[in-house]
Amino acid sequence: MKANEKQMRCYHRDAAVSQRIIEWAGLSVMMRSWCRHRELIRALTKRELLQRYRGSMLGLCWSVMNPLVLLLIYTVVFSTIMKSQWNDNMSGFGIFAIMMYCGLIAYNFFCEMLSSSSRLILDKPNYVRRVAFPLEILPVVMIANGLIHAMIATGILLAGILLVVGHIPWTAVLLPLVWVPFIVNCLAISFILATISTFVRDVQHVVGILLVALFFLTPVFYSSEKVPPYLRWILFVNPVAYVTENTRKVCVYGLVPDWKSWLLFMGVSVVLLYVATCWFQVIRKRFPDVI
Amino acid sequence: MEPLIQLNKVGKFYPSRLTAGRLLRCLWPAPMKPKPNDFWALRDVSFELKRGTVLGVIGRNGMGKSTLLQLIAGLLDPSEGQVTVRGTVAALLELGAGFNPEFTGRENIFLSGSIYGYTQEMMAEKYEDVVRFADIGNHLDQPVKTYSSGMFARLAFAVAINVDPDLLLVDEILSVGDMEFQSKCFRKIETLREAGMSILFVSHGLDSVNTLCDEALLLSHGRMLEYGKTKEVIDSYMNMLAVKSQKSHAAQRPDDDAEKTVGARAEICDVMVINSKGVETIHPYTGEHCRVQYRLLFHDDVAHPVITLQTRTMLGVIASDITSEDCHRVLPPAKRGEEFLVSFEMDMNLCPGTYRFGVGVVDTLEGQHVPLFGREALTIEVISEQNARGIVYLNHSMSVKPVHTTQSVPGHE
Repeated sequence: MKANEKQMRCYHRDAAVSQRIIEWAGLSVMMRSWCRHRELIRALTKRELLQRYRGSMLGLCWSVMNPLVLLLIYTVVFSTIMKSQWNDNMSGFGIFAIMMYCGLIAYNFFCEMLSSSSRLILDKPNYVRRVAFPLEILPVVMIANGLIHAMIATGILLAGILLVVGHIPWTAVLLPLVWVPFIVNCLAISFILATISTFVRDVQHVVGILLVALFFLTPVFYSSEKVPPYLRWILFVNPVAYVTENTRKVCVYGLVPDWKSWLLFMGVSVVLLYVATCWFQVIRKRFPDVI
Repeated sequence: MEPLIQLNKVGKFYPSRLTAGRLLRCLWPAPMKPKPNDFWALRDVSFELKRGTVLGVIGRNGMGKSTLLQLIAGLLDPSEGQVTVRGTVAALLELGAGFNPEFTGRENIFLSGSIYGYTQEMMAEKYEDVVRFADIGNHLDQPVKTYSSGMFARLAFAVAINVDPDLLLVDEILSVGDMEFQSKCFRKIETLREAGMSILFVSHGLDSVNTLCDEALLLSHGRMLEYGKTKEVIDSYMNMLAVKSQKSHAAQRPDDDAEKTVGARAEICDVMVINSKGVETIHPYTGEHCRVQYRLLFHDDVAHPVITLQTRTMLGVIASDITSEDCHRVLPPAKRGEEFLVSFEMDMNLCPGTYRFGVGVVDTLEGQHVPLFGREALTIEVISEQNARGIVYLNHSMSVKPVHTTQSVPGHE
């Protein structure tokens, strides 16, 4: 028997130690756990992906249809009915749709992340109470799932750009880089939200309101240039705004993202993730008490 | 060798009332302090378990047994004290623990494997063994939510014992499997135990604890009352139960009377089993000479009363049905308000297990029995040091003698 290959799950739980205020090693412990459970993460992601559209006839097509239909409605309303122009140089139904779609991808991803984070632990009492399940992989699974949907949507976006503009700028290859800090940020927010919502169930309702507000506070259906300077700080603290702006930059305008703000966003996100995981490691011990 | 499990003054409390303030407090990382009225599910528990030992945990419901198992499985963190486990723990805590109901059996095998720390390839090696042991046929490709509880238990058990744990935690789960599967599990447990696996076993079936465990731990109100050799611990548990049942008898009688007298023409109360030592018990030993006795009250004149005593298994199979006629006793006509003490003397020739006594009294009118009163009165659990399965204990013995044959028997290869 290959007993030595097996991960030995020896552990020592000392109440005095485990009640330490902070687990400084939170993030590194978690990254090791993510590596160890990569197969589990893959299996769960695949499963969740298939499960969402299980039983529906069009299956994964819905993941494409959903944003497209929304996009059509928004574009018709904002560009045709309300006659808003994207900016002074660019106008037209097609360009409006593309600009909006850049924002919608990030917004939908964020939306999905917020609402499923607020149920992440609550929905899985089995994993908390009955089995030594690595709870720290749940946010990763969720983000991975959202990314797959975002990638499908990005494929459609690029096809749309090709159709309307005629060519895709080379800077589009930088798109994954734009998303990296955003993903780290989302992971951190997901940990925080999942933990809070386990104890404070009102979070789910707050998130519902927040999402509506966020739709208008993110330059999805307007250009950030139209925001008056004294309100710019809203875009600055809004991670979705960052991705929306930079997606437009690299995919439509053919510009390179501003590296200084990229570094800043990345730095803030990593620190946030570190704090969130350290905190999660302490608070998770109390999950069984309330679930 | 170092002990597999070490518990040192372990305690776990649950907040008694989760007020908004308390919930918000949970989000602040500083340690939670117990409030005076918080519920201590477990307190001051210390013991060590050596490798290869089977420990039975007994105690009534809500006495901390499951909390103890969850602490050892690493699902809960102690509020005080230390828990040390040196090895892999496979936990069969509740039905379907760790199974995702939406996934198929096959997927769940691999999922649980990775929870136990196995890679996909390592699990693939074990897959055949798991499937063979679970023996649930082509249900394996169905989502687990469609499984019956028995199938669930089969799969859960098959996975848990095939991941080579150093410690297996079993919480009552075996009771849902059928007889054949149960005995298969017990055989497997026996082999694994010889190979050095330890088992921690929680059960209300004192009999299985008695036959399976080397040591036992008695929990009451979260505290460790006794820890030692199985038989001694079971004896003191039984004493505890006997005292308890006497107390509750005394306390409940007025209520019982008030409830049962309505409409009934006769009544039976205070059903008890007295063992060969003359002590009231609900845990007689197999083959022990016992007396079942109860008080019989008539609320009306009854011309030809006949009293009955039925013994049923938990599945409702009648193991024995005795009436006073069978005992060739003709009871005199009873007057209203008369009271009798009825005793049945018997040898408890029952195999270990749980049985129910049903008592009744009927009136005989022209050969027809008219029931006057009857109820399920008492549940007993027969225990034994013998290994006997089934219902009836035949007081058996056997011998095997060689038969001298000259040549090979025809037709026998």
